[in-house]
Amino acid sequence: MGAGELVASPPGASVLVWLLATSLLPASVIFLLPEQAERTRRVVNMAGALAKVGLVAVLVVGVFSGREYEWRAPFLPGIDLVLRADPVPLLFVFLSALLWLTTTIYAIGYLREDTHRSRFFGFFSLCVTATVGIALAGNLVTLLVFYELLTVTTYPLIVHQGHARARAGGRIYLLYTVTGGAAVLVGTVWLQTIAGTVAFRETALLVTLLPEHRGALTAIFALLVVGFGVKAGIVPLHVWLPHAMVAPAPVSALLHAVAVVKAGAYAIVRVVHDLYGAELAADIGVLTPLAVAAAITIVYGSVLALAQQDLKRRLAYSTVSQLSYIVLGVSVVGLTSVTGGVAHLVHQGVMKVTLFYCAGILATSLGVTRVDQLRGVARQQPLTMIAFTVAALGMIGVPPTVGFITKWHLGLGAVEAGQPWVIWILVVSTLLNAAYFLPLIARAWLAEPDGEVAAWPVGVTYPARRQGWVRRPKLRSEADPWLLLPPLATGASVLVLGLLAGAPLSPISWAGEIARELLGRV
Amino acid sequence: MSSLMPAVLWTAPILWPFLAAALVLIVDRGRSVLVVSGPVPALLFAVLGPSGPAPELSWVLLDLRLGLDPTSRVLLLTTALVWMAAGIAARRLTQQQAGPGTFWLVTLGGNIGLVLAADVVSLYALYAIMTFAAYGLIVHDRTPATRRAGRVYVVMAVVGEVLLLSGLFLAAGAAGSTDNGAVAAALAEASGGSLIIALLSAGFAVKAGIVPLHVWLPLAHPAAPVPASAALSGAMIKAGLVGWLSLLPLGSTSAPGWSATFVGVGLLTAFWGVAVGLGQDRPKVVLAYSSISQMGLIAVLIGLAFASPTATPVAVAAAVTYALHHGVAKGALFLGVGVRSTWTGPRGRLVVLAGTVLAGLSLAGAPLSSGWVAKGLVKSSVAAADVGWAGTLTWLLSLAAVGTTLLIARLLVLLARPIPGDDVAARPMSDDGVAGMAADPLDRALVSGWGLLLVATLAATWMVPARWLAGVSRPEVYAASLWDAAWPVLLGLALAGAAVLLRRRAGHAVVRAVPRVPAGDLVVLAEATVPASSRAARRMVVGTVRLRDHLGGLVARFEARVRPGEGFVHLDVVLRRWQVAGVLFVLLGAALIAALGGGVG
Repeated sequence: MGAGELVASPPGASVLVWLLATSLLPASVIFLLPEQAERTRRVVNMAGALAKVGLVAVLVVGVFSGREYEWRAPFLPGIDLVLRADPVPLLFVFLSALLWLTTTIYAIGYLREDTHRSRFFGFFSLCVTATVGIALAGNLVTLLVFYELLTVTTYPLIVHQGHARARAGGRIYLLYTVTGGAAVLVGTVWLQTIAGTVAFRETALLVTLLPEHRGALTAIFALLVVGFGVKAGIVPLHVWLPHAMVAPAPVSALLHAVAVVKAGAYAIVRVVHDLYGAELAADIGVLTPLAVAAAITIVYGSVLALAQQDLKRRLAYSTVSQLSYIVLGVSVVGLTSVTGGVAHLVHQGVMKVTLFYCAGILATSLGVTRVDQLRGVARQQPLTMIAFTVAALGMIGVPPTVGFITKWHLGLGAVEAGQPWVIWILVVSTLLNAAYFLPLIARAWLAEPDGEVAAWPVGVTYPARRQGWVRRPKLRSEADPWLLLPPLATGASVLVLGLLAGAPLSPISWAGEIARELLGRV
Repeated sequence: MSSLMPAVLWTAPILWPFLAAALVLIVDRGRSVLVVSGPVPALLFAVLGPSGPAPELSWVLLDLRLGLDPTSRVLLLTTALVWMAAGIAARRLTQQQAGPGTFWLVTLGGNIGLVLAADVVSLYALYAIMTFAAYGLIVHDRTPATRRAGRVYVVMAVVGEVLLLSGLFLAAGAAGSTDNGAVAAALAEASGGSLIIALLSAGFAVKAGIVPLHVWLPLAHPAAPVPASAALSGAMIKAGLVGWLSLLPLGSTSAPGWSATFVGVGLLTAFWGVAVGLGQDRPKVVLAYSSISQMGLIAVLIGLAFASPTATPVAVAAAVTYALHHGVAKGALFLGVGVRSTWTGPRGRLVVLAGTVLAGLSLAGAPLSSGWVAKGLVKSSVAAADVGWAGTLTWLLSLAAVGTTLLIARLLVLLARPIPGDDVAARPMSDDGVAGMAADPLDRALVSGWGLLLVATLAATWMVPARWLAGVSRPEVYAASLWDAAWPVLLGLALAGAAVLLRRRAGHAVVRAVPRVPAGDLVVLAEATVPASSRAARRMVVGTVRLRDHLGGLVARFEARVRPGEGFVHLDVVLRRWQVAGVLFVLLGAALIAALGGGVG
């Protein structure tokens, strides 16, 4: 196959390319903008984010009405870069587009007083481009390329604040993710040598290789899962995650809900179900170890979260724990369980993004970064804390939030799959989640503010991040709408998506379709 | 349209309270009206609504299903009636601020919804909504004491939720369906059914205040404002019963083991409540212990329903009738405590005492009272269960009625004490902050709600069960049956009188000699171990952290080496030092070359 010889793409391909372009183009424009061009940058950012949501809507409608979307271009001899809108990718790209929109709004408000905003938003857009690429990747090589791009584009966001601690955090992040990426690379190349280019969803091909290459397939699986597991925060590969908390709140939000961490979990879902397929993976006996690793991570993450006094670090360890719900769901193979795992891609996203938005608001507007400073903050910022409370209850799995919907599927699915031990993991996790979230909620709503907080004037002034004091005449010192609306929207979705879980386009119904497709295929 | 109407009809009782809760947050006035309106659709539905399964609402939660059978109709009526009367009484609580009304309506919505829920997901969801929203009612005044009550409540609630949820996973898995009926049927046969039944029973028992899971109740019910206490103790406490009736495999086979367990634990609870309650100094705490005791009797009825399929219908009918009777009577008694502090002076005191005697006699099952009707059904259940120990049980149940009478007498003594605002020599009543309201003008709304429940106490069990429940008739009035019901009450009164006389004669020495158990009994022991156990927990967490540090030691040392600078240049340096990574990269390069050069197979 000669260079420049483009493979004919089906007509729908341009949508996929434009999905990447809606964040790639804004990135290149924003890099060129001068720092003070706030208004232009805002317009470009919002236009890109809105366009992406619109395109995803087009894509969703198209796929549901039976169209196929695929784009491919030659990358290496014999290896194409492929983007395809398969069922799982569709769900993930949907999530990415929506949360990118809310996070962009939030970030505009959050970084209002910051320097280096062009750099920030440029890389922010690149980061989303890479995530969308990961989402839509049609084969392992494409996934790897975007996965590495994600590693690189996220680094400047993590070290954004530029001080020593930020750089240290960024260093540890790179160390882990680059090493993880290397493992994925080895796995990918190894697979390429024995099987050629394996497109996702062509699991039958690997099954034919099983008799000859059982050992190799097992090793490749391990390499891929370890590599992706770094980003997904599977213990003991999670070490970088709390360090990366040094990033600004919008970055943490995006990292934990969509981009880096979620991308790792998503990649594991694809490896298990779209590359190997549940039957093959079960056959080579890798699913039980994976489920056990996820179970250990769930408990371990929660125990460590309990020990954290820094709010964002507590949330970070909570992510470690929650992400493994996804891994657990997809590795305990059964319709209900896989449904829960896949849906948790979305569920965990909306919950965690809300929590990080709120943590960011508390940190910037009230200077609250530790859990013991939360006393009475709900009086100062009731709306923020309502969003926080709903999301935290969701993490515990209190109905009717989305967290409950996930937990129900995981628990019931475990019983159906004949692995009732998972229930006890869920029980322990619920208790631990309650233990590290409920006291925060009670403290915020019920405790008397201590002297420090009481000194904050009600609704008149509060410290801005860099430039002294800003006057904001308001009844309460609720954050400004750019900061407040995103958590309110995502917080509401935590409730609504759970309450209307049975509706046709809810994440769980969608995930149910996906799971049926995934498990019925082989 | 034709399919929309039934859906609206069925969901209105659940939807309206939540909608009203949202409205309470928005509006500036009329909050108390919204609060009162909350249970109205449910009340109407209980009286006029259709029976049988509702049209499916597959969009909501995981395929929400609702249903109503005769027994749940009685429970729905109980729930709606008590919440409504309490809502009327709560005017002062709800009209000024949005918070209490919101929590009130959400709790109420969950409580009504769980009665109507016909699938386990909705049942659990609404149950949990009720549980967590009630926390807001309990910690209303934010004092350290109520926050402690709230803490104990939440811990026990989470324990209950977890028991319940794990039981439901196993149950729904065994049944292959989330239908309440299918789950109950599957539990009768499923392997491992005993574990599931144990989990579900215990999970619901937390709400019902069954010993030893009751510890939150004597703290939480009195901590809430009076009208909320009435709703919690009158209506919400029955959620445990709803759960048992919905999911336990009653009536399919006889289960002597479960029968004996429920009867035994129920009797323990009944007497425990009396024993600890008698030593209490605050009227609301006495009432809370009385609720525990009464729920023990309801647990006994569940035990009888387990005994044999023939006994099940009458035992279940007895349980719901008892729930109705206890709901209105206990609601009235709680509101009476509130009325006492707002209607001061000799006249008010007399009215409150009279009302309390009325509701109290009914609670104890005095002849011709509404409690007597309920107790008549209890006796029939014992007979129908046809167990060897029926005679003993009958005798113990009468003894429990003696205990109930004693508790009511204790309550009367406490309520009779003068409070500030009475014209008598002022001695502050040691009540839970209600005394502080004594100077307030008469709270007419509170008195109205109280009056409504007193009327219901007189009428409810005479009117409702015989009409709604199949095979239930009003008890016949004849001398023997009257005497059966009368002697425990008379004995209780005699004992109480003797105690009062003794105290007059012997003074406080005797009183002090009686051992007093603090409210919450066992929880005090548990709290004593909190420092130690939290130390242990902390050690565990710290241990985990250390383990991480230890395991990560190599990594940490490695990270430490990556000291100055940033980016890939240094990373590269480090990676080169790190042999493993180096080897990996070499391997990887080789593999890459092989892949690119050799083509693919």
